[in-house]
Amino acid sequence: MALVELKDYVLKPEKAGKGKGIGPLTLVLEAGGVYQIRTDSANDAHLFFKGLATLAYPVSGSYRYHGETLFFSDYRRLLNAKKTIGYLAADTALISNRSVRENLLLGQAYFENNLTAQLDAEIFDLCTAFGIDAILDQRPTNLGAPDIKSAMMVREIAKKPRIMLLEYPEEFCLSEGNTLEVLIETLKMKQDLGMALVFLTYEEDFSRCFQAKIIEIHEGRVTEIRE
Amino acid sequence: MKFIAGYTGRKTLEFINYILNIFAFTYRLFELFLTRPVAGRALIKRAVVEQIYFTAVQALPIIIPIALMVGTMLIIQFTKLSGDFDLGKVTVVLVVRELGPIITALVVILRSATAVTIEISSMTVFNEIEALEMAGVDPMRILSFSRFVGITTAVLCMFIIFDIVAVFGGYVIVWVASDVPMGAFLILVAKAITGTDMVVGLLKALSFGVAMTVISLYQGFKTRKMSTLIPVSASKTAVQSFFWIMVINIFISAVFYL
Repeated sequence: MALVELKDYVLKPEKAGKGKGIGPLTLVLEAGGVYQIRTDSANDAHLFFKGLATLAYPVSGSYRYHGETLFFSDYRRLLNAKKTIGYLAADTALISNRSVRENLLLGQAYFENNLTAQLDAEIFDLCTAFGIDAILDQRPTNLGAPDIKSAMMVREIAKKPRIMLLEYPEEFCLSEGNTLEVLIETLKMKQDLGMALVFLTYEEDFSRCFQAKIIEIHEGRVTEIRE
Repeated sequence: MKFIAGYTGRKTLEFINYILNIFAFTYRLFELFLTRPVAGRALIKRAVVEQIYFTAVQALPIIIPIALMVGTMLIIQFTKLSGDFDLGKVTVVLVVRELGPIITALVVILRSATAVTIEISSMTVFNEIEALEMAGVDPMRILSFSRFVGITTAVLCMFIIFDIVAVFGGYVIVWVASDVPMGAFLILVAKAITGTDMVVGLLKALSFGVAMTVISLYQGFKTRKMSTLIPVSASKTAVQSFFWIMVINIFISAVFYL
């Protein structure tokens, strides 16, 4: 089943000199599929990820997500899609004036109007696996970069996303408890449950663990999709 | 000549664009009052209470002494003019109609409006707004709406406190600390104040609250992704809020008293 369908999709770089932009691009990403990005431009790859996450708006073209066309004229109409997209990239952030626990429970507090919700066992297990169970009540401003990145990773996985976008996952595995092996194992489990995965990495250990289709982005154009 | 015409045209268009954006932003905030979506209410309620605490309760140690100083100063001056003017009327005109809302607004701009801009700007610059969106959360609701309601309510409450403290507190200080003949000052004030005065004072406080919140939020969201632009946005908020508050003040005074 097609999860993401991009047709004649064009993205312009945010600033002049930051890559060539993307497109026009026609691409289908299957639910449960694994895709590895290969590119000559990290900026274009980042823009591609932002485009998939609906954080970068297209100049033209259409984006169908989970069978529904997304309308970029109003950001509110994208929120439902966004909450099922895991996004781990250089510009992913935690809410700095809320504790890690509150960051993890933000969606629950918002959609269920429940401010006293507790982390369920599955999320707590993730926290333990990624080594952030001891810092749940700390605010991000009190934490170091490795812990913040681990917390971001847990938050995005805990969302139970339909698609996970991972830009340099090795940069999110910096703390002692949070190793690439743990991440790979977790992602494989989620993939078995139907989560699609798109990643860009320099870490061969990571890419070797997944039988990924290759998406080549060259000069702003997706030139090849192959096994 | 061409250069001057071009410059004037660009500045005019920029100004019109700014005004339209401010009104559109205000419309979006009022729209949230009407649509009353269910999701996020608990978070919004908590944020409103926090905002009222930060803006009003924490500002009491500032607004009360200021109100006392303004009240005392004015009453001392008024008593010297007691033969020439109706003391009560002058007090109402100056404190309730004009100085109360303006000074309250000034304190809130200096303390809270700039702080809100810095907070929202930081969230914009450091991608926290995007993080909220990626969680499916509407930032306009949990950030803007809550601050809009919280600050506007706080300004209204602080205006009432300012007026009461300035008139009664000022009276008590002058009565205790000096031999200035006060006469029936409080009775004169009570006689002079009308329903319109109270409505105008409250309307001004409400309008000032709306204006400064909208400007502070708008400047916060508009900040481009450079941390050096955060203080620039805060500065713009302070200046623009004060300017538009003066404009609104004159407009309301003109409508009710001309």
